[in-house]
Amino acid sequence: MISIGIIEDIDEIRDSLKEFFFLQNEILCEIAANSVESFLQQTKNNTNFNLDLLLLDIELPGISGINGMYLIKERFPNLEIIMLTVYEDSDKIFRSLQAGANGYLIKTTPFPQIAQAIFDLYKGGSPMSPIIARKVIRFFSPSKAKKSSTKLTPKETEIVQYLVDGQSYLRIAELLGNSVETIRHHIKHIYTKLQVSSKAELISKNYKIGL
Amino acid sequence: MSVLGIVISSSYKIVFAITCILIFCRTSFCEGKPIQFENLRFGSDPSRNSITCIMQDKEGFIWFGTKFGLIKYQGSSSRTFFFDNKNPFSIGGNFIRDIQEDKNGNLWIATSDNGISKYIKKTGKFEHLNLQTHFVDRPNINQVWAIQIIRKENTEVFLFGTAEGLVRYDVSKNTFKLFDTNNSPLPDNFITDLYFDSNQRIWIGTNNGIIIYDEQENEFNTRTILSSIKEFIWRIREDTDKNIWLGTRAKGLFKVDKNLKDIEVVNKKNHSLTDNRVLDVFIPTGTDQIFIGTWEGGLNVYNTKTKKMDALSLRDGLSSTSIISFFRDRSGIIWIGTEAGGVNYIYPNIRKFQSIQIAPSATMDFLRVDDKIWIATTTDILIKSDSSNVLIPFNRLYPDVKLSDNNIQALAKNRNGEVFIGTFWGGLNVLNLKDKKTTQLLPNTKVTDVLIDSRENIWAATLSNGVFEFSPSLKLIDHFTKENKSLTTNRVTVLFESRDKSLWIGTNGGGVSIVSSKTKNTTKLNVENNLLSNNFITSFYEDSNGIIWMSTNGGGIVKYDPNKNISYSLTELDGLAGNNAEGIIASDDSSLWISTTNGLSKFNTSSKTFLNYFKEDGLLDNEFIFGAVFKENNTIYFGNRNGFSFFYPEQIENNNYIPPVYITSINVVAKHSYSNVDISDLKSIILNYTQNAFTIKFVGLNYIFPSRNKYMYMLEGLDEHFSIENTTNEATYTNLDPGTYKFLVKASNNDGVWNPIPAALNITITAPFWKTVWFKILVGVFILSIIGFLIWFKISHLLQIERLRLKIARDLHDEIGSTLTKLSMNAGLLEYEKEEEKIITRSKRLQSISREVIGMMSDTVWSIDTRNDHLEDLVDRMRNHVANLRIDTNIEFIFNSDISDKNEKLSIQKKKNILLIFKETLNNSIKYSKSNIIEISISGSHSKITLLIKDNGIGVAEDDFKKGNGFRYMQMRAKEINAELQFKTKNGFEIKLIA
Repeated sequence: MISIGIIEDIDEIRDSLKEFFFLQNEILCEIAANSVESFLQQTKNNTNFNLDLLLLDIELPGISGINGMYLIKERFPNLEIIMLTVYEDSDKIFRSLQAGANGYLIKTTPFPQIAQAIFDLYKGGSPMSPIIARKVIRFFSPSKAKKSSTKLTPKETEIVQYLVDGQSYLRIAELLGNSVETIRHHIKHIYTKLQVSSKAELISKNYKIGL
Repeated sequence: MSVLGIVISSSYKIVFAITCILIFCRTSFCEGKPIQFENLRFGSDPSRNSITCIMQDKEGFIWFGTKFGLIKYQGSSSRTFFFDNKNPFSIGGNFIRDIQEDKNGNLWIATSDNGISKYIKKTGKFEHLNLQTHFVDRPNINQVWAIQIIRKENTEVFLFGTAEGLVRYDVSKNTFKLFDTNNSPLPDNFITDLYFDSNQRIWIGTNNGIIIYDEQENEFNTRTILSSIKEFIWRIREDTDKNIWLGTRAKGLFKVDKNLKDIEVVNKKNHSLTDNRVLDVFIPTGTDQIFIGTWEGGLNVYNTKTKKMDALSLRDGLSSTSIISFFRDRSGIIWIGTEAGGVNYIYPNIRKFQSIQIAPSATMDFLRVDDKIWIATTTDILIKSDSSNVLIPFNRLYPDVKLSDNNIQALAKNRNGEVFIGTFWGGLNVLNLKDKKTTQLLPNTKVTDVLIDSRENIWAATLSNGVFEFSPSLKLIDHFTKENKSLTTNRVTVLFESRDKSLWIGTNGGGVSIVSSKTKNTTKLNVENNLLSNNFITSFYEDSNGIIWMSTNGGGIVKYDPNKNISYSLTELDGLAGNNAEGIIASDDSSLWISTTNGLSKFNTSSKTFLNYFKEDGLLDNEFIFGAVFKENNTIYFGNRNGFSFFYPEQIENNNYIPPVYITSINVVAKHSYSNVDISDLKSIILNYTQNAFTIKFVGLNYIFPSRNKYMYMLEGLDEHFSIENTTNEATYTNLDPGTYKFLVKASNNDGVWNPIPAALNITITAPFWKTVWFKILVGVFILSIIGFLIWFKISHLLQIERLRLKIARDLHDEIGSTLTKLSMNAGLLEYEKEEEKIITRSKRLQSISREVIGMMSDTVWSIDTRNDHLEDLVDRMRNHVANLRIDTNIEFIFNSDISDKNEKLSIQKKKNILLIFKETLNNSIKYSKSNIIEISISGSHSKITLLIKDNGIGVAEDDFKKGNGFRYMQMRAKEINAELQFKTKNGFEIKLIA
């Protein structure tokens, strides 16, 4: 049973999602808030909640999804977060990945796929679309290399390259002679590196500015 | 405009009555030459022509004090100053008694009708000094007869001689002290004259005697012989020996010796003074003469050595018998002021020429015969003896001589005492002076000239028959005519023999033929062969270099070099008085004298300049007749039409006085004429660009024939060099560009003596503001800023459009995205519905959401459309929506609208947001408040719209409402357009929007 939470401001959408998850046996929607503030308010005593995953709307009034992510991660460091978005705005998505999201979902995705995505994510990283993959490559490109820890391993780079080409996990696994699980694991690791290195950069940037 | 009561007279008002009557001088002053008085009058008013005092200021202008005003004279024109009660700056009084100049160049004028006026040179205005303010109880103190200014180290002391005593004004202490009979030994309170002599003594003349104030001792000196004088003292003057001369009202002239021991009297009785009323005394330096001006006895000239008295009066050329003032200016002119006759002036050698008048004659010739000069005219031969200017007709001296004709054209004489007389109608007469017998040659020939050559051959020129040559024995040797090719024409006018013994034949229209003495060949000079400027020859002259000078009738003079066969002409353009040159001769100083029909020219062969003389110099007339020129010893004669003029070239003195030159006025041709009265002090002037056309007047201060003063000027910044010399004393410039200029003018006197230092005036013409640099910069900046503004405006407009696009895009994105998500999710959930009821509900929901999307799209498109920009359009759309709702629901909708300002435009944002809030509110009402009446009212104008929606339902829970999406949504929309949103949730739901 995967325990999830939802933060979505439009009532009808939130309700629809709640309704759907209610119909799923393996997914338990424990909390559905209409804002980050409300979510934080409700989870003040986090002993009550043991969330595995959070669906977080990118476009929120008040504290935005991306900014809210930092606050939520503070409280639930191990919480995996999936961004919810209406459009596939790759800039926003990439930024949320940099901020620590583990994946993203288009809101108009058919429900079964939504469920599947949650399962996948729970197990491993979220699929990377070619556009996102390209952004990843650019981010880790040699000209930007600063710290050694932020470099992608050759294998990781190869995987991302295949993703840029639009290959599926299955296909990549075949090409590299690994299992799909292994591939997924690598991608998750890439995400983490992305987040860490993004954070480092942010800190160093802020440090330079003197915040 | 008479701003200062000034009358600007130009030369046409001043009448120059030049009296040209010759007199023989009976005094040693003239040294054998006659005195000529010139006369100057100022209008016709006798008071203005009564000159009581004369002075010359530092600059050189002559000031005449008259009985009716003060005149500033500058030669070509003058200005008169008189009292004008409308003008506070005019002179205070009109009866001028004395004029003195202080160290600042300002003039102090004593008037006997109204005190003292001070003329300020810089401004041209008068200040009035009213002595009565200092001496209130003295009613006559403003009758001032004399002023003396005593120079002390740094200051001046003024002495005013008034009818109430002597006022002493100390400038440095600003004190006025009155000396009268009460507090001083003055013989009388009525002061008539003051004089400060070279011994530091102030002589004070009064109505009844004279006294001295010793300036060094600072006291009156009463212990002198002066106390014996009890006369009205008109004038006090000092001579070069420091004796003092006193002019008295009834007792003649007194001479007081410098030691104050002796008085000598000069009066009618003992010295033949014509009138004992002596008004002024003038003692020229370097002579023994005293000029005495008398009340009615004219001008007396007294010789102190010989004790002889000469009297000059009207018949001597004076303009009045009443001589009341004298003055000698710095150029040597002696000015003589008269009563009602203006001013006379004399200048040594003002007249350089003498003349004798005779009956009119078209031609003239001269011949020296023994101690007489024979003058041939068209009616007779006149004979003048050397000792007198009287002319005696020929037959008076030679009664037995019968000439063939009396129209005598030419005279010549040979060594034998034969005189050759060429006549017009009777050919050539040969007169033997000894036996008085005549022989006739060439009867019926018009003989125009006769010449005896160096071999004693006789040449006769004729008017229609060429030239005849006779031997001394009167045998015809040769005949030169046109026919035998020696001449170009038979009309011969003049003959001449050059030193190389060639015979020069001048003709009337045929140029010159030169007969060579050896070969008898003739060389021709004429216009056709470019050796003459004119073919009408009037006279020849050969200079010491063998150059032949010829005068022509119409072509000026020609200078011909026989050796080089080159000729060179000089005409009016070179300065010759006239192109019709009638005669040419040289004086012993190798100047050439040329008579023309327009005056007499003197040509300086070294400087190559001409000096021209005219009637006013003493010539009988400006027109001379051809060929009438004669020189012997040191006298030159030129024949005029009605007489002849003669002179002694060495004795012709030029006026060597260098005239000071001043710029006197600048007259701007603009709307307001700017005429500065006394510009002589001004160094620079600034005019604005509308005043860029002006006339500058200037004057050279030479008073001898001032109309012949010449000027050269230039405007630095416009002209490159000085103009050619001209007598015009003004220069006009028009259309000058803005900038700085300097006007320079040089002047010469009547005899061409130039002042090399020009007068200067700096003129600045300011640029109109639109031409100045800073203005151009300003305009540039302005244009740039306008361009910048336009660019900024355009950019911001574009940005605005861009922003709007973004906004619209974002709005579409956000709203429709969410709505479509709703659609999608509902559709997804539809799959999981099992119950039919729920399925139907779900499907209905899908439809509704779809419609919502369409509605949203429609609203967005509507709001962008510019046709829907007005408040009216918004209201219409609202009505439309309400109409649709009426169909869908059972609720009664009441819609009120009260709007104005129908032509104002609403922004896209405002329109849309009001509409959306409107829709959302209705939505809430319909869904939650369970009402059956919803009232909508919209009012206001585009700047303030008030929308009120209320229903009659149960309302909504406030907290819920506030938390709900709807409210947040409405708030957001309201905030975007700066609108106020109020709501009530009890007793029905109510929303008030003020935008």
